[in-house]
Amino acid sequence: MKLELINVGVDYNHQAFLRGINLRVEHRSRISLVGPSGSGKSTLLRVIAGIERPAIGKVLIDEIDVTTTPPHLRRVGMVFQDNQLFPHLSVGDNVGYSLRITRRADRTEVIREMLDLVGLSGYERRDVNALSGGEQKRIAVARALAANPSILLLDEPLTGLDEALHDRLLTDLIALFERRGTTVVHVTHDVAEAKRLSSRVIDIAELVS
Amino acid sequence: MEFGVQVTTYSPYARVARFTWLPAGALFIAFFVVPLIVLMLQGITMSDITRVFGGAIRSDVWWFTTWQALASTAATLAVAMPATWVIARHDFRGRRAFVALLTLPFLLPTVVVGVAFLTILPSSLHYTALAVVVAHAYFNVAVFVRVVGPVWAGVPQALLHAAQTLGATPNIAFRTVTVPLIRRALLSALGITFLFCFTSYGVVRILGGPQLATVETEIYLRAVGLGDIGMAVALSILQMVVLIAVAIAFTRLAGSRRYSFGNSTPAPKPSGRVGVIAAMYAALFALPLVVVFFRSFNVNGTTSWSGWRQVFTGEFGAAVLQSLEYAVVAAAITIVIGFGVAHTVVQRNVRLLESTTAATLTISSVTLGLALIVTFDTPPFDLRSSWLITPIAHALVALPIVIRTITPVVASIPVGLSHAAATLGASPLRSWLGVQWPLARPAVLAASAMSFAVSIGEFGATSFLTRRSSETMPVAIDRLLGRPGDLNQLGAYAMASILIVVCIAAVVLLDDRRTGDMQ
Repeated sequence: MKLELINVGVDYNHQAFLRGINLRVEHRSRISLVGPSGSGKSTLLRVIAGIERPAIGKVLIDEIDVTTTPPHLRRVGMVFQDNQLFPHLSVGDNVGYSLRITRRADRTEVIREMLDLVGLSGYERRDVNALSGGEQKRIAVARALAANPSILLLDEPLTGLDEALHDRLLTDLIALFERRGTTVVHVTHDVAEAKRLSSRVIDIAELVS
Repeated sequence: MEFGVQVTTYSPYARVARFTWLPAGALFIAFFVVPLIVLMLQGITMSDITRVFGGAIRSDVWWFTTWQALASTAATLAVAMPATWVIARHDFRGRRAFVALLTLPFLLPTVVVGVAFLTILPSSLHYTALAVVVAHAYFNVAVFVRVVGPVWAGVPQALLHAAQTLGATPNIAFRTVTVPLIRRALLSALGITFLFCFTSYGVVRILGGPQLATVETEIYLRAVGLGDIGMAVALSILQMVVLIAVAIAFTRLAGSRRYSFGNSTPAPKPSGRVGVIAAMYAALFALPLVVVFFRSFNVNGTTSWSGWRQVFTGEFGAAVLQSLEYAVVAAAITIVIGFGVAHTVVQRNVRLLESTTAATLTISSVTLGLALIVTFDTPPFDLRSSWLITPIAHALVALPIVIRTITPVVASIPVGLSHAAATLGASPLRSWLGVQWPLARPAVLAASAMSFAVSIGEFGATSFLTRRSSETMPVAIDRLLGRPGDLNQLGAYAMASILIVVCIAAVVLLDDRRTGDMQ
């Protein structure tokens, strides 16, 4: 799926926050946006996901204008910085959340497949609140991928993990996206992480006019 | 001066806090535990029990009590959820005033709520089950706002966004994420509302008329109207069993799982739709109160201040003065002993004390009144003719609320302040007067207002304990409404207006309490 932002501007507290953002992400490609905290990286992801509505400009997915389309109709998955796993659901129910909504008959198989994919086979019945930080991150990725999104957004996905876990998870994610051919927009303040994950790294300051 | 056994932190009040709960304990045992035991042991015979089950009670009493409680709970849920959503998920100017307005009915005497709905509902609905259900919904919305609201406000917006990026519509996200996370609070609110409606007395007395009877009104009728104390006691005990069973069932159903979230995302800016809903609720909730005041000086389109004149100078003045007297004494009792309990709870970490005193909430006030007259009707403990028995009953009803208002504030006063005072040479008493008391004073003031409001509006126990010469405003309102004549009606509405003003003052002071909270 191809993603395009055309002259997007976002207001914050009735004041212009981001202006003139133009971005094009090709099908099956991975790009990383880098920049310091507060530079608007996460806001841009929220605009793409449909959680924030831009004050001006357009968001196109496969040439279709989705600027005013609500998040649940966009097929854009997102891994949140703090995971946002549902605390009242088990690991399996978290991963299968989107499948339950669409009443998919093959839910159990897809959950198993996704857990295999992130290296957490057999975790279906576990309590998400009892998982380690790295395991929670993997579940967040598995949950987003289970919905079969056309584009996957990663909001600082590896922030807060220790160095060894950060490296291992990054390697796993790269392998996973390679295998599935996922279109990814990744934001981080870690330039090294961005360079490893994506073929294109853009400083958000260069996007803002 | 004392260093604790387990920790060696200096606490100037630890020793005295060992004893400050004793007055509350004595009052609780003498006027709550003992009367309930006496009620169970002495006031009931086997024949009373067989009469209860043998059809001496109209079968529709239990049926009506149950179904009106279920219908009222469902109606409260329907009315409360949109208002709770507005309060929990949005930040807007006037939000605190809006919360206060929705909380107000819960503090209002049930008699006043009954009177208010008698005024605004068409006469064809007077003395109908629908009127009772509507009034109960008005009364209990506050339970949802206060119990469910804070939990709902804590559900992170980002969690709902996550659900939406996974394909959930806002409705599905509400059903699959919000509802499970607020389920415990929701079931608690449903349980509390059901219990309040099941034991409703004042509202049913005023709005149900003679045709509709609940177990509570039947207990009163048996004890006071027919002099059949045995049957009244048997009904009270049976009702207690039902209430305890329902409370246990709801607690089990709610489970013990709580979810804690970090800092919640800022509430979204309210849309026009939210403003419309808030305005509609504000108007609906203020209307009954405004109409009661209007009716206090207007009868059949004619303005007359004779009701108010009677309140201040005439026949009704006695009830006003009596209510004020009881309320002042009840507030004084609850504040002194409530503060003592709060000190023990905080200084000695005796949480059990808090939950023990809350036991008075599980017994209906009608049962409490009945237990007191059954226990204290023979020498040397013949207190039925003593004026003190009524404020003591009021104090028992208000005590759990007072303790819950004062304790968190006392607990939030940093221990370091008393350490600082001690290093500056202050004795424990000096430090208490100079540090603890000024910081706890706003909470004490709010608790006094709450206790005052509870006492001045208490109807269930009071209707057993007062006589014609010592009747309070709610009892007088109930009596006057049943009598013909414009003056009686005007007087009843004028007294209801006074009760509304007292409750508004209590809500305002309660809201202001936060300024005294150290955390």
